[in-house]
Amino acid sequence: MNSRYKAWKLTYYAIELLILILGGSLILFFSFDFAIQIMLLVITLLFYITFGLLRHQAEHDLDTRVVIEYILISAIILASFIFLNITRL
Amino acid sequence: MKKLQKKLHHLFVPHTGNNHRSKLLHHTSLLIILFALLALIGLSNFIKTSSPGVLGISYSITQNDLLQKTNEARAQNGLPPLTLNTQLAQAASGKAQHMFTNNYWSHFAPDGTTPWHFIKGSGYEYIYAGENLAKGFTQSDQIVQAWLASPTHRENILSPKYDEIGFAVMEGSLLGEETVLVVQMFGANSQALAQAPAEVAPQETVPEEKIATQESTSQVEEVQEPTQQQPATPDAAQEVVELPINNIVESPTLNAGFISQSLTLTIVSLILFVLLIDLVVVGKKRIPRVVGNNIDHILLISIFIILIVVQNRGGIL
Repeated sequence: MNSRYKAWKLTYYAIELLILILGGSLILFFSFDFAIQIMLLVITLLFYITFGLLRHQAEHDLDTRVVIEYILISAIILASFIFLNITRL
Repeated sequence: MKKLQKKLHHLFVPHTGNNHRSKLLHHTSLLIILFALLALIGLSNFIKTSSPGVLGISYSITQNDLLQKTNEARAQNGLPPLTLNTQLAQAASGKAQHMFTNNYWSHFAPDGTTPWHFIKGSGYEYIYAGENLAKGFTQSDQIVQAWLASPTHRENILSPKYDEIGFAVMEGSLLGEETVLVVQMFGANSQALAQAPAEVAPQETVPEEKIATQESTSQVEEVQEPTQQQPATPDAAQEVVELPINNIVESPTLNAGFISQSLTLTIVSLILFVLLIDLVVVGKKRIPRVVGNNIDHILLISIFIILIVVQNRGGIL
C-alpha cells in the first residue's frame, strides 16, 4: 500500500466520519420534530450509500452484492431509529 | 454444546464454511433482521391503537422521592433536611406551566420573566432563592443523580443557605416534544431574618448563570418591610392553598421506551461486534472478497449508537 493510497483512504474516512457526525448532530438538534429527524437520517444514509459506492467504484470492486449490503445496513439503521421512537409515532 | 459452538462460530466468525463472511452479515441474515424490526414496528403500532395503555413510557417521578433523594444527599454532606413549602411548590408549578405555555426551556423566559417572579407571585418572601430544572427523565432518582453530577445544580442542592423546597412535576408538550418537566425551587424564608444579620439582601441562584448579590432597592424593601406581599405562615397557607399534584406515576403493561431502546441497542451492537470480528479475522488472512467496506459500516453504526444514547438522556438546566 503506497503512501498516496493511504492518505486517500484516510481522507475518505475523515470526510465520511465528519458528515456522519454532522448528520447525527443535526438529528439531535431537531429532537423536537420527528419528521425532520427522519428526513435528516434519510439524507445522511443516502450520503453514506453514495459515498461508500463511489469508493468501491474507485477501487474497481463495485458489485450488485455490495450495493445491496449498503442498502440493507442503511435500512436496518432507519428501521431501528423508527422503532426506537415508537412512542412518538 | 459442540453444535451450538459451531453454529455461533458460523454466525460470528468468517471461515471457509460461510464463504469468509460472518453468516450474520450475509444478505439473508440482514434481511431477517430488517423484517424483524419492521414487524416490531407494526406490532407496536397495532398494540398502541388496539389496546391503549398497554404500551407506553413508564414514569415514576414523585415529589416524595425527589425530596427524599435531595435530603439524602444533604444528609450525606452533614446538612439539615429541606422542608416542603406550599408556596415554593406553587411557584415551581407556575414556572412549569409558564414554560409549557410559552414554549421555552430556560431559567429566564424569552419575555424576561425570571424564576423569582413566580416565587414572589406565590407570596413567598425570600432571602435566598434558587432553581433547578429537568426534563425528559422517567425516574426520580435519575433526576437527582443528574443534578448532583452537575457542579452548579449540586451547589443548589447542597447549599446551607436554603431550608425550604418546592417541586412541580408536569407533563406536556415542550418545543414540539411530549415530555415531563421537573422544577425544583429552593428558598430561605424572610422569617429567618430576625436571626440573620441586619443587612441581608435577597440572593437568587440558578445553575448556569450565577447572579451576583445585586441589591435592588425594591428587593431589600421587600425583605425588610414586607407589606402587601407578606406571605401567610406555612400552616395557614396549607389550609388555604392545596399543594399542586406533583406525581407522575405511569406503569403501562409494556414499557415501550425501555423495550425499544434495549432491543435497538442489542441489535446494532451485535452487528457492530460481528463487523469488528470480520474486520480483524479477514484483515489478518488477507482474503479477497466482494463485500461492503466494514469500516464504513462500523463508522455508521458507532455514530448511531452514540445518537441512541445521547437522545435518550434527560436534560437538566
